[in-house]
Amino acid sequence: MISLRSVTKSYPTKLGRKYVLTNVSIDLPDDRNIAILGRNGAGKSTLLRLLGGIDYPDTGTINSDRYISWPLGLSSGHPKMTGRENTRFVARVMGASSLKAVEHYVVDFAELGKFFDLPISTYSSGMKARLNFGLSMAFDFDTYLMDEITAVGDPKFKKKAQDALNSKREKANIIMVSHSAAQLRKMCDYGILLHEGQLTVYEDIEDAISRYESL
Amino acid sequence: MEIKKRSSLAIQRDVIFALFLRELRVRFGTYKLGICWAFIEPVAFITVLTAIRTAGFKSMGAQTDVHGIPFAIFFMLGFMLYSLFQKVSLQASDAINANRQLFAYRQVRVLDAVLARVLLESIIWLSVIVILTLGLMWLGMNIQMVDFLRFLSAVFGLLLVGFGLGVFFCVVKQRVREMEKVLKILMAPMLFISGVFFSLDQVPAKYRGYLDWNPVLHAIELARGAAYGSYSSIGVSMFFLYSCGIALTFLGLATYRLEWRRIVAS
Repeated sequence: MISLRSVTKSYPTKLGRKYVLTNVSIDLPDDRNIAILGRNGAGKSTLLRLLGGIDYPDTGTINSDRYISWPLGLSSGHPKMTGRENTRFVARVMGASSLKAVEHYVVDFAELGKFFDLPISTYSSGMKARLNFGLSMAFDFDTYLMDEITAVGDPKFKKKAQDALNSKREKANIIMVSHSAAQLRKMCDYGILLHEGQLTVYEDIEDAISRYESL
Repeated sequence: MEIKKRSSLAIQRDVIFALFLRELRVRFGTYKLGICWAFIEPVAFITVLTAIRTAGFKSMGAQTDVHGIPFAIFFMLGFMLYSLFQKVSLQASDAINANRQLFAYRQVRVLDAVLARVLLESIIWLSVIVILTLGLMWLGMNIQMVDFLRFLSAVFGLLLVGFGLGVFFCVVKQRVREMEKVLKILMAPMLFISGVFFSLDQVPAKYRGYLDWNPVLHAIELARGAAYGSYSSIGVSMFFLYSCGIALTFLGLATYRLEWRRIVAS
């Protein structure tokens, strides 16, 4: 369970503070796949970063005993490091028992070929997503955070990503942000709507989507 | 692959090691001569300065050492300690900007990036000074190390000064970009006022009081005095060096503690 207790999060802009969450308390279940919906700029990505522990609330606490992945988005990793260097870096940071095993897995999964030894700045967005996705699949996280990532890649990769994800889903759940209702229907069964600093929980994803579409 | 449960300390160790390897690659991977540059710079500096000063003093018929320290070693110690301070503080102050994308992994904390850089600089420095000393020994120089512990204390005190200053600027730079320029301005005269070229007692007495505010000068003079018994490190004190080191480290870590969340927040 990921529990948020009286969480307030804002960030400064030139026009004053922008509030993403105001005094939110909520428990996210472990056994559901959760969709986060909200309009552009509502703060969905920030919420994902908060859940992933790479951003911090102004006040309140976020606690969990689960291994949560970094948010899988379009950009991640250091642009000046090669795919291989990034892979090894993450494997070391995660305390992987075998760097080689992680490297082999990512090479196989991401199918980057020679690009694996070129800096990430030379990658297309699809290639970045493939590396990022493969890297996260190399570890058995309890919760995977996804930020619009499944929309990229060619059909063959999409299929592969879907299969990998399905194999993880027996033990893990996902929390994802997407604007595609079809995508969310396929992956999730639980919805959270982020609107004007408040989170509303919908046990059924369909309710969440219809509410979101009427915003 | 299964994720192992690790203690916080084990995680930090793994992270610093990962960052360390990355920094090592970046630092030397981009140059054609790679790690050789760590040696070329001080060797060139020492050679040029020794040549100039030897030539200058020869024409006056004077000695070729400073209180028993041969010129080459005198400059070597001065320049190496100065460059330790300069490299550590500048590298530390840029640790965030160079590693920002890596903070996307929750295990990687901002301070780890700074520590990895300080560790790397210290290790490079240590290997360079050992090899330079062996080289000068091979050339038949009079190498001495009277009080090794005191020498190490001076080096460590200087490291604290550099680290504290580096962390402080690293953090405040994120709020006020101009601080980058302030640090550069602060560093510009350091080579000339830290006693790299002259020992403190070669400076006219009425100026010594001003130079004495500079902790780097203290570290350099203390290190020389610790290495050569004949060298009098008068006018400098270990107490002042450590006071500055501890005060700056406290300042740096305090600002870090206040600001680190804001730094990782997007």
